[in-house]
Amino acid sequence: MCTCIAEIKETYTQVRKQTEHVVEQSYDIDDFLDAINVVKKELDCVTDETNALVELVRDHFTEITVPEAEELLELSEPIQKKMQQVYLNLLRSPLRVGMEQSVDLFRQAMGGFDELCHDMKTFNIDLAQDEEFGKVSQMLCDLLK
Amino acid sequence: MRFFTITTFRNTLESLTQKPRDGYMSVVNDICNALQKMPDNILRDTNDRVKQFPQYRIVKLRLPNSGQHLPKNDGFRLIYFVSLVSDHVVLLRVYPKRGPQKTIDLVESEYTRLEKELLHESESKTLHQVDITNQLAELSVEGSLK
Repeated sequence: MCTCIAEIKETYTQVRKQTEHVVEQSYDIDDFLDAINVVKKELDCVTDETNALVELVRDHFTEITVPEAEELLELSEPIQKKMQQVYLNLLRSPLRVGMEQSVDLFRQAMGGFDELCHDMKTFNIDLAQDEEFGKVSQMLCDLLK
Repeated sequence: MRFFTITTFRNTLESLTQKPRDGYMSVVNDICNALQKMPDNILRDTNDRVKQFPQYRIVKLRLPNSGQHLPKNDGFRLIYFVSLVSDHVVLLRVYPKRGPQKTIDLVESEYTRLEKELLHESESKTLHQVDITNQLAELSVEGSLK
């Protein structure tokens, strides 16, 4: 009988245990990757919907009246807050590594939505009620007549 | 269409292109490329228009920063005036959304100031006519909206 059989068996046991441990970890990795895919899919969906919303509003931007702009800005506020919350959570989350591009596209969509809200306040509310701007604009119109 | 600039536009353009490390050296190319690709009706009817009057529109065009490979969301903003009754397009202001000279967005008083400057420079016939097919090279310095 081989004198080292006990040591060999012990090594077998260690390798088996290590393999089992890795198998368990690989299940965790699968769960982690599944979580990334689920979050990524939903994040991409929010990004697409936000971009579509921005383009829809931009298409009709100059037709929006002061009260309509005020109403839209009121609706926008909770969306902006939630988007910022999602973005901050993603920056801190380990899930971010698996979806850098989606996070960047989401950041861009969030920036586009923030800019739209700023434009709506500036052009559809503030400038629409600004007497000085109204006067200068009228002078420009008169000049072009 | 004939393209003109006001002093503010020329000053901001100069400031953006002074330091190559700021990452704005492609701004002239990006402006020219975008404007050349837009037919007259799109120049007037782009969905980037933000203010509309019977005789003219103000447009806030979103441009990429090709030098930094930034998409239009993160690139430049070009504010221009386009006449609906003549062939005048006046470039009023350009600013970047990213980098050391980034501007979040302009406030209402800035738009009033830009329109006043346009009016004044048109009345004093000091609008500069530029060539968008030749890197905004100046064609004349005696332009007006008339």
